[in-house]
Amino acid sequence: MLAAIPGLRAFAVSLCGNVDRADDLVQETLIRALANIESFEPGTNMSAWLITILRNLYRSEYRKRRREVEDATGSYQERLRSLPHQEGRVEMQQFLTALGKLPSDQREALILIGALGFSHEEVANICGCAVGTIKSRVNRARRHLAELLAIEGPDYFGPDRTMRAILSRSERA
Amino acid sequence: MISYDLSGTCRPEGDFMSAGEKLGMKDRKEADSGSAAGKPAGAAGKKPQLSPEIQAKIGQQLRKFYDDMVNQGVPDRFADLINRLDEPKK
Repeated sequence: MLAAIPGLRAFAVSLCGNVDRADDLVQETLIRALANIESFEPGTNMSAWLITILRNLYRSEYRKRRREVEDATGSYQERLRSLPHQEGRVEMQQFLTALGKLPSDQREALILIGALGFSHEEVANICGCAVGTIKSRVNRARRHLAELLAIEGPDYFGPDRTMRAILSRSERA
Repeated sequence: MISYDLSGTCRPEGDFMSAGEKLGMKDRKEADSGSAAGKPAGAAGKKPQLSPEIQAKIGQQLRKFYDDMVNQGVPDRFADLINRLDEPKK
């Protein structure tokens, strides 16, 4: 269960956009999980089970209670301020800001697959939808993110690549 | 324009135990199966693909986001909670 904590926190931050609120959500998740531990099937994926609990908690409680939550843009910055100085921090800041602008269904699919390393099938299970839906959400999320990053940080991908991202955007328009 | 697929939107609002949870999850397969590195998208052909460099960059940033969390370690409040509640069962 300890090993699942970084993933739970990362996912919670991407949902809440704020590290304190995210950690409260992780805490509630752990309490809920430990109280219902008998419903966990040994041999199945503990991380996926915990993520599912966290996601449902967030959707049933946090979202109703706190409508302002979708304002993830600014509050991602708070999290970054709490991190020690490191290389690539500005870049990460831009990245998370752009991530915060994605529709939440795209964002969660991208985070679960790209950051936490779940398979499309696992994410389909977690989100209760078809594998194809998850695949298309992830694809849309990547394209959307590339556009946002290309627009906001002209040097994000390096000049050539930024130009290419913009070009691929206008092709579509 | 991006075409939004509205099929299969699913909002199990208020349902604490989802289907996936009840059934239990299969073992985590090969980590990272869908991320970054030039994996052809399902909808290939219809829409222009991102270049492999951009896909790789996005994949790399996503993993870095996760690694940052790993590097922060497990906050004491969670470790304590797990240890405290886990003990009597073992």
